[in-house]
Amino acid sequence: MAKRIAFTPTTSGIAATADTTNLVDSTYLALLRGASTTQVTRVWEVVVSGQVSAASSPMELPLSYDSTVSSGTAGGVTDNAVDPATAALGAPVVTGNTFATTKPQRSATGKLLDCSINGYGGKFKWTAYDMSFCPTMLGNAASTGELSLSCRAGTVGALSSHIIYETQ
Amino acid sequence: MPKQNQGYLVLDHSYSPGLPDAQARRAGVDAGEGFFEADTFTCGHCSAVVVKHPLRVRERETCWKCDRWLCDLCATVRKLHEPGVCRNMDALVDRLQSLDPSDTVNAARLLADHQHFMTLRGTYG
Repeated sequence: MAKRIAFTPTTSGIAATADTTNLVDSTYLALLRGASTTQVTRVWEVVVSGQVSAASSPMELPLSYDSTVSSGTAGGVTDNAVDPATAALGAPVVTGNTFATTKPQRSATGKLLDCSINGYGGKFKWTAYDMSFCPTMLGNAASTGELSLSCRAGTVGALSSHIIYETQ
Repeated sequence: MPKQNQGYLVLDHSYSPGLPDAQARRAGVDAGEGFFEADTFTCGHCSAVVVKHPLRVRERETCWKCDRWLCDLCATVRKLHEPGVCRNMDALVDRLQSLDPSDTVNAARLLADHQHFMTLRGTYG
């Protein structure tokens, strides 16, 4: 019951991926997946920063439920408690942008937040004021148990991001 | 109108070419260039974040059962398919968390019902 931050360092290999298509490792920003069938996680903040150094790179970046959930060893995203005094969760939310076994697929119908920016100097920030404003992730199965932040279309380029979330 | 379920969005393209106008409109923001900030609300039924466009004059739908704002897609589903039905996400969370942890059958049933609603909603946008 404490906020955690899933931070993705600058990812230069972002790729535009259609809905319901495998999100290839390290071509998207981040993913959160519940740890149990009834776990509830709220998203408090999403920040995306453009890190492209040379040319205009407008990208469509939906935060969306996934219709196929990932599995296997996760990596690529740093997950830490916002407050260092936080006790570890018994069943921690899975975070990552690489998955060893099953690659996630973004749902065509479950878009929650459009985080589109121009990767050349753009910055996106969305913050909730309290828990009733937070998008909710339910369980650990399709289509409400996993959230991904990925590029759907546009001129791709380097980005970094963080997602602040809290598990109930 | 309910005052809860608001958030805050900043899209800063002060030092960037910004987004093409069509893409900016799809994202619900006023302009693809420069600095844009707006309040948002989170749909009480589907959890989607909606930018409150400052120029919108059409009324926002609310659910009179849970007193939450609804996005246009959920409002359409409620009007056309499920009149009077409240699909409040927090109520679903409460129902899930009130189940016995071993009751995976009912948990799966509740989530499947919500998934059916989300699929129906997805047919409108």
